[in-house]
Order: sequence, then C-alpha cells, then structure tokens
Amino acid sequence: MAQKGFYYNSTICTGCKTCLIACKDKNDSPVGVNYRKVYTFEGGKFPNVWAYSLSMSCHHCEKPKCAENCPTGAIYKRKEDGLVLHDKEKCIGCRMCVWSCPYEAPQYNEEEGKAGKCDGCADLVDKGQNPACVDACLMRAIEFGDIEELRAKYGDHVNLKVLADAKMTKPSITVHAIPEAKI
Amino acid sequence: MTFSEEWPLMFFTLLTQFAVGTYIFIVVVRTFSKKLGQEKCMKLTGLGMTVTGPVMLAALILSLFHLGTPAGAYRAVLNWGSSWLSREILFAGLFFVLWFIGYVMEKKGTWSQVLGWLNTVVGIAAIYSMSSIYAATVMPAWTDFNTYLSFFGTTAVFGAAGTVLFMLLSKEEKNEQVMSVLKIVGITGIVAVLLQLIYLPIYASALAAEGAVGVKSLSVLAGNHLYTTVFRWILTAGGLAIILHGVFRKTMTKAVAQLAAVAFVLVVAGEFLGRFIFYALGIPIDIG
Repeated sequence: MAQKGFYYNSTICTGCKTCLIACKDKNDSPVGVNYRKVYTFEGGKFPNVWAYSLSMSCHHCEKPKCAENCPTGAIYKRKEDGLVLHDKEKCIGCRMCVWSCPYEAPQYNEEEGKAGKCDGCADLVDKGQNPACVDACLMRAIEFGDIEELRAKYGDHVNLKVLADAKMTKPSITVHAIPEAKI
Repeated sequence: MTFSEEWPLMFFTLLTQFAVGTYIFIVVVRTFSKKLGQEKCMKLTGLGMTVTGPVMLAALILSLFHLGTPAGAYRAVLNWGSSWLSREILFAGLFFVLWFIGYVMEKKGTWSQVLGWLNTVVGIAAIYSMSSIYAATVMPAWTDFNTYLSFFGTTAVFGAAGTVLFMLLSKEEKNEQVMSVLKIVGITGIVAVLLQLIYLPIYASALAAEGAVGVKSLSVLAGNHLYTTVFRWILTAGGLAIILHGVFRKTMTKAVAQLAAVAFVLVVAGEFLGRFIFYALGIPIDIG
C-alpha cells in the first residue's frame, strides 16, 4: 500500500484561505463545518517578530485514532492508498471521532446529525486528479501524493510546536515551516 | 464539554455505574453472608436487585439522546474489534439481558449464583470499556488513570450507598448480622472515596506535566471548579459518613432507613457534580 498524504509549505502560504473555500465548495459543507482550516500564528518581540500560516485538513494518519475509536466502522482506511474515508450511511453521529483527532479533522454537522471529514477528494484522486485544495492554492503551497515520495523530496517535518506529538497518530504529512514554528 | 451538550452521557455513565455497582454488592452479599441465611438474604437484597435492571435500561435509553442519528444506534456495536464504545454498548446491553434472566429466575425461586458472578464480570467489563473510551480520546484530563479510578469509584460508592439503602428498606428484621453486613458495605464505599482523594494530587501534578492543554484542564479543576470539587467530595463523603453513622448506631432501624435515604440523595448529588466536573475538564489537544 502506497500511503497518500500532503506536503504543505507554510513559508510561502499567504493565509488567503482559498484552499478552505475550495474545500467547502467541493464538499458543500455548511457554515462552521470545515474539513480544511487555516490558522495564523505570530510571536516574537520587536524587531524580531515572526508569523506564519498553517493550512490543515485530515492527515490520513497511519494510525488514525478516529477510525480505531469509531463504533460503527464508518471511518476506515482505504486499502489501496491509505486515505481515511468516512461512510456517511453508517455514521450515527456519536462524535467519538471528534474526541479522537488532535488535528480537528472530523467535523460534526448539527443539521445532518452526522460527522464528516476530508476524504482527500478520493473521487478526484481516483480520476487521477488532485484534491480541490491543492489545485486551488495560488501559491502552490499544498501538494498531494505518495507520502514517502513527498518526504524524500521535501524532508520529513511534522513536529511543529502547535501540533500534537506525531507519534500519537503518525500523520501522513510533511510541513515546511519557519524555524520558530518547529520544536 | 457543557451540561447542555453532554447531559445524556452524564446520565448514561452515572446510571450504568449505579446499576453495576449495586448489582455487584448484592451478588457479593448473597455469596458471602452465609450467616444471614439464604432465604433472609434473598429477601433483604430483593428490592435492590429489582431496581438495577430498569436503571440500566433507562441508562441505555438516555444514551440515545447523545446520538445525532439515534435510529442507527444498533450500528454502534459493529466495530467491537477496535472500538471501546462498541464494547461498552455490547457489555452494557449484555449486563441488562443477564440481569433480566437472573430476575426471572429469582422470581421463580431459583436465583443462580453462577449467573450473578458471570454478570458481575460483564458489569466490570462494561465499566472498564466505558473508562477506556475516555482514555482513548485526545483530552489529557481523560487519558489519565483518573478516569478508571473515578468510574470504578462511582460504581463502588453508588453500589455501597444503594445496597445499604435498599437493604434497610426491606421489611426483613435488621438483626445484628444484617447490620454487620451493612457496616462492611458502607466501609467499602468510604475506602473508594479515600482512594480517589489520595490520587487527586497525583492527578493534578500529572495534568500540570501534560503540556498546555493539561495545564488548561488543571486550571479548570483548581480554578473555576475548585469549590465545586470540594463541595462534590463533601457531599459524597458526607453522605457515606451519615450512612455509616446510621448503621453503627444500631437502634431504631426505621430512623436509620430514613437517614440512609437522605444520605443517599447527598451521595447522588456529589457523584453528579463529580461527573459534571469530569466533562468540564474534557479539553482536547488541537491545533494551536
């Protein structure tokens, strides 16, 4: 199984949130339900100040706690590419996935009474295309592909100060960030 | 987590722990209180045993209100291979079924001790699974050993208080032997409280070492909810102390039963507050 994942370059991201909008458009998600979110962090003391943006969705973890804890098996890891998918038909809206993810990926939809999450745009991926967020990015800051290839190309950086310890779920992501963001 | 969000789970966990705790104490009393005599023992514990089943059923029904899609509740057991939530529902459901079988047998005069112990194991498995659900989340306040201690602690406290109350309420004569059984049951409840109080500072220091989110949880426990926590333990420990006071002063059994009923209400209030605080501490590790 070749695990699919994301490379994200925080150093060129402008925090414009186009990825978030593309994601909302693709998934038709209501207000407050965001499968991808953009965060901004800042710090330092004048004149040495710093700031960076962080665009995060589901990391399609190697050890997804959401899938492990889901009582119905609605969340599962797809065999061929390791994408963590969510079967809406099976979901009963218990929010166990929301309690299980340190990356806020599963989102509870009050209207539907069910959860939902980023599926890596599996339908587009199956057609050989990129996830919506990747192609929408003006800065080409997000890449999607075989995570091992992405790590070989960009290095394996995931331990940021603002993220949970990568050992917890083994996220399939590598992030290029400014030094201040790293542990 | 707030009350308006999580009230179904507060009731589900508390009622399940009440049902399982009372059931276990009654099985233990029925097994080891040979001096009371078989028939008398069954009559003394009959009311308590009758109550545990409907309480468990009520807990299961209330848990449905937690779900966004309650109609799919049956699917909650499908992932029992890896999900503690599935296991919890399986064991809680099985606990009710075995209680029902035992209840029918008891009505026919053929209570089975083996079935009682089997269901005791199932009940413990249900509480263990319930604790493990919270231990498997990303809330530092819940992934601690404290979750197991407080869930089993509530089971023991409710079981002790409930068993004493229901035995006192039975019409059987409360002789010396009965009171000595009630003493042991009551003391077990106090021990369960002491163990939790001893662990409280260890829990607090563990939270302090759990990074920013752990510190935030600790500030809720030791800040916003400091007085709630103190009050919670006064209620639970005070209720149990009143029960013990009643059973150690063996005069006027009718008054003792009334006293135990009041004390029981205090224990329920204490445990409810304790669970409220537990959910208030559920702050997740997230991005930031």
